Amino acid sequence: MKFGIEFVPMDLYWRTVFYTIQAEKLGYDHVWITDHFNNRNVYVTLTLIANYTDRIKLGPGVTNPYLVHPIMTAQAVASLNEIAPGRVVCGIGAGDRTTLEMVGLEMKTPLRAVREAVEIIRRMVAREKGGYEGRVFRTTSGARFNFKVQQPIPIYIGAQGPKMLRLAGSLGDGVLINASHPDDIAEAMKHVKEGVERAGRSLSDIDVAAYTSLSVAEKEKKARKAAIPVVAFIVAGSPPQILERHDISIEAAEEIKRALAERRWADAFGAVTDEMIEAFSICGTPETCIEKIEALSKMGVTQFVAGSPIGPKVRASIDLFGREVIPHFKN
Amino acid sequence: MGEIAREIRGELAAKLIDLLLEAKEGAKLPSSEAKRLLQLWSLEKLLEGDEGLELLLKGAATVDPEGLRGLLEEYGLEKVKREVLG
Repeated sequence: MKFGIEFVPMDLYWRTVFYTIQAEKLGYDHVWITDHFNNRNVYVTLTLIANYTDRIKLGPGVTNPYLVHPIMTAQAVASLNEIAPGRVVCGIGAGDRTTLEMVGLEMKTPLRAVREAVEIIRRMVAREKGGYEGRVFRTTSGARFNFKVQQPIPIYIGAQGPKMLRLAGSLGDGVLINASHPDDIAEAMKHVKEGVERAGRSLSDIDVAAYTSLSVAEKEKKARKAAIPVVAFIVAGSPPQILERHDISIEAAEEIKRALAERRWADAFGAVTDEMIEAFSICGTPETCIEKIEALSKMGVTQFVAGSPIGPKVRASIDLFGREVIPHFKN
Repeated sequence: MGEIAREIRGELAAKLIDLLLEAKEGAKLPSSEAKRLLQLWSLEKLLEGDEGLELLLKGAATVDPEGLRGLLEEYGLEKVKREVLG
């Protein structure tokens, strides 16, 4: 099992880099930086991380082909690869509809857009000759880098729905499954396997990452409290079929969504139940986390990504997870 | 720095790091100091040696002087408090 950690560059750049250095020292394998226009730029953050680290793999987790043309994503990861040779990965997904709408972008044909973006990034990194004629993206034969990329750059596809999961299984070097609960991961794995089989590949050809919401602390209660805000946002953004799978009423989710939209934080967070925390996060003491991660491992997950909030105190939780959870799987 | 006993330096440095990481005014930390801090941290020199501790104290005085005052009082470091916070 490999271990990744996700940071949202909302915080000051030096804090994100500080935490990443800490994670690297503790044996985390990957750092994933989210890509949203309203936060600090993902590649500026990754460049600094590359500068201060030596081993940890790094990449956007995830970018999308609507806001950033795939040719620019290819350029960014290829350039980053020069600073951190062999350590760069690229996470790409369809993006978030609401965020895209904020800047007047429509999420048209997401499967095709992601597929074509992956193909263009690969072609650009490999400096293939000839243009690309897709339905969403086109490039001419002149669209080539003037520099060589020494190492391949694995592409991970961020996915939640069945079709995107199948695409990830058939096309990705890895898949980033946006889920924490074993039932959701089991469901996702079915589709990933279908994609893998359709493409005549083997599941062992890809890195299956569970992109979770983690909250770890010495005390269960503190871990749960820290998970609440993140879980509220996940519940508000979850499709009905996922809510139903966890016996969460759509009305309760709608109420949280309304409260968040109106910035009534106390109402939104106060409506988060233990069942919601259980469904949408890996939360608890190191022992609890080990138990839950073992369950994911048995399902075929090969990378556990510790996503927000990580814990009540980020530094302490990175440390606790690194000292007490990671060694359980690595030794 | 001489006033700070060797045996408490590691613990104090860890508390200063938390102060810096959690300060509301973290953006006040000058970029040059933030970069040096990251450099020392990546080289395993932040928690050891005078330079790391001096940098942490200076940074904490910039981003959270009240928090630093409380921390230095907790450790009985009056002389350091006068030097760093005036």
